[in-house]
Amino acid sequence: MNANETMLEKGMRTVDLDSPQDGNRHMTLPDWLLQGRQPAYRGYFAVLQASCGHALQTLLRRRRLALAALVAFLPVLIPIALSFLSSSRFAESGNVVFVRLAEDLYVNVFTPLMALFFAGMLVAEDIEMRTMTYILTRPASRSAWVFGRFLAFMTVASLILICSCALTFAASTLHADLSLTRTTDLTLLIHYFGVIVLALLAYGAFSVFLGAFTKRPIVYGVILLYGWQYVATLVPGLVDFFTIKKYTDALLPLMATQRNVTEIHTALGTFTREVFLVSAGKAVVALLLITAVSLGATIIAVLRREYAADRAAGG
Amino acid sequence: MPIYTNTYRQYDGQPRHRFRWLVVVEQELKTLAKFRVFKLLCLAAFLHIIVRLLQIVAYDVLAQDPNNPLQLIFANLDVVEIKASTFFGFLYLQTSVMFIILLYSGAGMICNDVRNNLMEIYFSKPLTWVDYALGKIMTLVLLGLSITALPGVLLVGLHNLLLPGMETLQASWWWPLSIMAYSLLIVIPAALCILACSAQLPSQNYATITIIMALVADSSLAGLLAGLLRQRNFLGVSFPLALRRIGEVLFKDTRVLFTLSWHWCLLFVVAVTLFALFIVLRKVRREEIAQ
Amino acid sequence: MTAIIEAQGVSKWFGEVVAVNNLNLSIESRITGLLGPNGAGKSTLIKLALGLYAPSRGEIRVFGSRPRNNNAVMRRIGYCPETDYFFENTTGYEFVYWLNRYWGMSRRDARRAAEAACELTRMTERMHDPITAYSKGMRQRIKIAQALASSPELLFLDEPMNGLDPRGRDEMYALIQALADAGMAVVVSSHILYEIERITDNIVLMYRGTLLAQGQLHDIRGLIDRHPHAIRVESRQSCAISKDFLDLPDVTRLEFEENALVIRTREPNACYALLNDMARKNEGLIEGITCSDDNLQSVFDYLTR
Repeated sequence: MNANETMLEKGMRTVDLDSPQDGNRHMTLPDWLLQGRQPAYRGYFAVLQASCGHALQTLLRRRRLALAALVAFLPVLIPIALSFLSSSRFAESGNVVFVRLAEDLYVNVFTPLMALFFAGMLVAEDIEMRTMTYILTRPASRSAWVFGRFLAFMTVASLILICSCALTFAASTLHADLSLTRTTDLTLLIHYFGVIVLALLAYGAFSVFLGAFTKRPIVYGVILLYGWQYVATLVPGLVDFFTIKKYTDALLPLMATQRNVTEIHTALGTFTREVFLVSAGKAVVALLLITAVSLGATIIAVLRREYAADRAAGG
Repeated sequence: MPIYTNTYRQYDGQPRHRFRWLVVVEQELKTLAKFRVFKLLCLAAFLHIIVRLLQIVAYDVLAQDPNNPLQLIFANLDVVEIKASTFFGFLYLQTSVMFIILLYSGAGMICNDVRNNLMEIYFSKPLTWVDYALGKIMTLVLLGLSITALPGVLLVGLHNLLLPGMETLQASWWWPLSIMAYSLLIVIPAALCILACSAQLPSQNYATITIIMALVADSSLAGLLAGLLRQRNFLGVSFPLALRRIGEVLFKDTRVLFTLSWHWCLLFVVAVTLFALFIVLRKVRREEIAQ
Repeated sequence: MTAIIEAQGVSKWFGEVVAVNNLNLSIESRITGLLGPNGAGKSTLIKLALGLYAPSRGEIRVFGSRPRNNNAVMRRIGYCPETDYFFENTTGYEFVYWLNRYWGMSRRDARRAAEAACELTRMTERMHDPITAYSKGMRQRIKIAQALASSPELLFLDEPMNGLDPRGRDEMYALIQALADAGMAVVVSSHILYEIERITDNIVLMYRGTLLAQGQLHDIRGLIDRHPHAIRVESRQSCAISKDFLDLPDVTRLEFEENALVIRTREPNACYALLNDMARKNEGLIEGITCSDDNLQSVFDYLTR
């Protein structure tokens, strides 16, 4: 057969379905693929486990985790540096150093930061990377999937922050007034662990929701968690009740009255702001409620929204 | 030349004009203009400009008019007075909005192109890696300047128009220069750092959170160091406060936050900016060669 | 035979763009080819059937139930999307394994199913390599592996031939045929008539979001055959070639182009036979032949005229 004939045959489009040149026409399928041989469906907890396991594996493989951990472990150096660099003529109080770091950095800065960094991307990443299509076409309970991912975030973020906080505590014992063996100091440490975990729950759930609901969860997260939360503490009235910080602050060991800014200095003058306090019990309930509502809203968003983002016009 | 000896080659054709990067700027700005959130953020920046405009009108028109019943109020209100620090205050407040706008616009600029294989499309045109990088950088810089330097200079002009005279001119001739210098100082590092994150990370969300993380960690550490060591000069470790320190000098503001020499702060800002520029250029260059 | 997929007055729009418009459809056969040019609404229809989109109007049912958020339906479905998106930092095997776990399989089942699916798609050797190192064809295979791993009853393949080399295509045709023979319902979307023609007679033709035709291929082909076909013969001696075609009764028109002749005929097979003869007798006379019948657009042009 010469070249012209081949061309002609192609041109004629005489497709012989049983042509011998289609050597692979008859394929034998393995038994498992035959009708009625589907694997057993394990249900809700299998999906939850899979979601958590997959998210953990993905998180742990990333260099970004190292970056987050690096930032989170930086405060450990502060008490050490302080013992060398302090210009104070008096001995530093380890208690003051640790409390300051735990509150100003761990609770107020790192928990929202970790939440945005990890939880904000839990759902958003699948949407952004367009792998959501695969997940949504699996018979996986959406709530199991969301809870699994959230569990993975809590595991990683809590581990990083709690380890870092514990090391900071240990480093702070270089100074006076704080000991690794004193029960009251250890109780203080455990107290902060609790606050960190509760804060991670609320900030994390809220960030997951932002990830499921918006295209740019981080931008909105930064505006809300750093912008709004700051502004709300300056506005008189009950506006600060609509922040997570209000409730995490209420859980801190020192009396809330000691940390609330009642005087606001502006270019127009100084105003006194009435502060409404929240009890620790109510704060815990509020944080759990924020977590539950945010996760619920995330599940609803996943159920209702159309995430096949590669939709082409009419495609 | 045999095909196997052919490696990376420069584009040999004759480019149509020297400002090819302007195409990238135009395309990026047109794309951004389609987003509602972007428009809202620009509106927020615009609102602040309006407030300052009203302030200038209040001081230059109402406070100077003895027949106006509001004259007494505005003439005695220190906060309404127009001076160099007013513009510093304007730019300082505008910085956060500018930063969020740049973050929204720039976080996905390079990583999205890489992920969507747009780099090979760009480089299949007579665009060099310099054009591409310059286009992206200039988009953010122009965007930033349009909400900082441009309104700042226009407001100074308005101030001179409403309160004409040698006295006003003598007092304010250097304000536009300071505004330009400070605006460039806040916009260029922000733009380059955002683009550097976008170049290094796979998605715009990660680029955003990484830069926020670096900024928050840096500022918090600076605050803590300054507080714990009782040395306010440690605040210079914070990038935004280092910029502020230079701003204080540029606008001759006497309300200084710390006394660290502005040279150190400038050195810090320049070092970070150059590092970010290096990352951006290296990434774009590598992408071009890879194509 | 009961309908596997049933759409009643289904419309889907995104803002002002109507992707699917008032679609009434019933798919029953083992292999169905979803044909249409780009932007016809094929992928949207598949996503509606998968429950990824909710219909803006109307109702779509798969296995008699609404598919959106319906795990009972999802258990019976496999889907190979058109686009190449994968989990970050994963190997081909891990990709299939995790999707099996999301399906609800136990660890052991997921592992076995992933290995078996990789073997079926001839990916065993490379399954532990990162997906980023895969060629387009390999990525296509791994996507098919994940769709088959749960041995679904209904398989959606969205442009499955994209990126496959000729051998890969042959294997794909054989696989689809074998799956159908084994009792699996397969919906294959494509914009290339030839591809669909090789695997099924039963096609659904879509155009601009509407259903243009549904049924057996030869019925639809019949519609085209009543219209003159255009055969473009590339040759430097087009005048010499044209002489022989003047005598053929079904040739309606001859058009001369630079180094080419376009023959319009109602009986293309006679023309092809003649061209075959010519080429055999005079080597080098004919440099190339293109047939507009290969172009699905001509079918749409006719059907939408």
